[in-house]
Amino acid sequence: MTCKTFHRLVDDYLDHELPAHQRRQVRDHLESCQHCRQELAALQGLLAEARALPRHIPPAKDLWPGIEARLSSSANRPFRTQTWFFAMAALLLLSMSALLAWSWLWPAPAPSLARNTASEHEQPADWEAELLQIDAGLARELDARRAQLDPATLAVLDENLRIIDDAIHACRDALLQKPGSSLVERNLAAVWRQKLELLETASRLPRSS
Amino acid sequence: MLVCPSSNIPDIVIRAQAGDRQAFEQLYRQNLGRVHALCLRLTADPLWADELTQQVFIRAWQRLTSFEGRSAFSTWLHRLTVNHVMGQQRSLRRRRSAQRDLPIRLSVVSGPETALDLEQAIATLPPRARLVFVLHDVEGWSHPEIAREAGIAVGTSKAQLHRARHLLREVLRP
Repeated sequence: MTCKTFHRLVDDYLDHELPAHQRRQVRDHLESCQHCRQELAALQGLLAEARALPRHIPPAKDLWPGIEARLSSSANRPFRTQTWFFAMAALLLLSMSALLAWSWLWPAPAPSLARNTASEHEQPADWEAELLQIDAGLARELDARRAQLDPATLAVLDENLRIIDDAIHACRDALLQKPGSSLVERNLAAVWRQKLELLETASRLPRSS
Repeated sequence: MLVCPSSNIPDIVIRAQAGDRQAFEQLYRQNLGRVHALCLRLTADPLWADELTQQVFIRAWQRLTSFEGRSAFSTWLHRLTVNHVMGQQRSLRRRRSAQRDLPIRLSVVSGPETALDLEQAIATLPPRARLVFVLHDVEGWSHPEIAREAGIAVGTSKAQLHRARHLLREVLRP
């Protein structure tokens, strides 16, 4: 091994990322080259010093007053009005798009089939059973907190949940028409994930002041 | 398989998520030194580091509800800091498109005496080499993690680290 090759490999050597045979070659070279040994020692010293640098460096002045003042501005409120509203509005839009896509891909079933699917809605696929249990638990938690929540936020939340439920039913209809379709199952799972995430987030909504 | 998000979140964070300013101030006090150290080392500019530190905590406040307890709060905040600083540096670079690197500033940190030389040397590094050196050799990130967060290839991260170590050796050479 030449000094030039050592120089190219030294970082991977220091970071233990070289394969065994190259590590051996580097060690062999180090035994015979004092210059590279010194270079390695200097780099090891640099890394040790870097690792020992203080992880905490407080600023010269307390920054909290400036932060607190900016938290108070309406543009920086995390909950209730802005963030929640826009997050839910985005979800609403997404769910609407999903529903539109379903109605486009799978035209409404004939009346006789529609009657059949209405009854079969009560028989979800096996893999949904666990999700239905989680859903029921989170929905109960939300119901218990309804009186404490901001009415405007609650209204948006309920509208989104209604749209997601419609999307779940639309997916099940599609599954009845195309049984075993992995595309439809993936979309059904995605809508379920949206619903559970929304309910989980709703469980952390602050009380209305 | 779907997993319901866990609620493995410390009480103080839950209180802050619910809008409790005092709880959030406590989180600020617990994490200020770490966030500021990172901003300072990544920018090598004390005034800008102060401003970025404030922005990071405001951003954290706005995004608190997205913290789901899948990692420690400090880890979540650490990543938020790195992302925010990198984003601000990118937009600054765009504004200064004619200028390849930011000006070098010395004497940026008033830390312990033994650390001064290396801190000053890190401050002289070009921004991208500094970013990789700080994240890899000071903070202990891996190259794939740096590559993912910085939007660069793993090979680029390794090359920048090599460059940074080499430049630091030159600057610190007795």
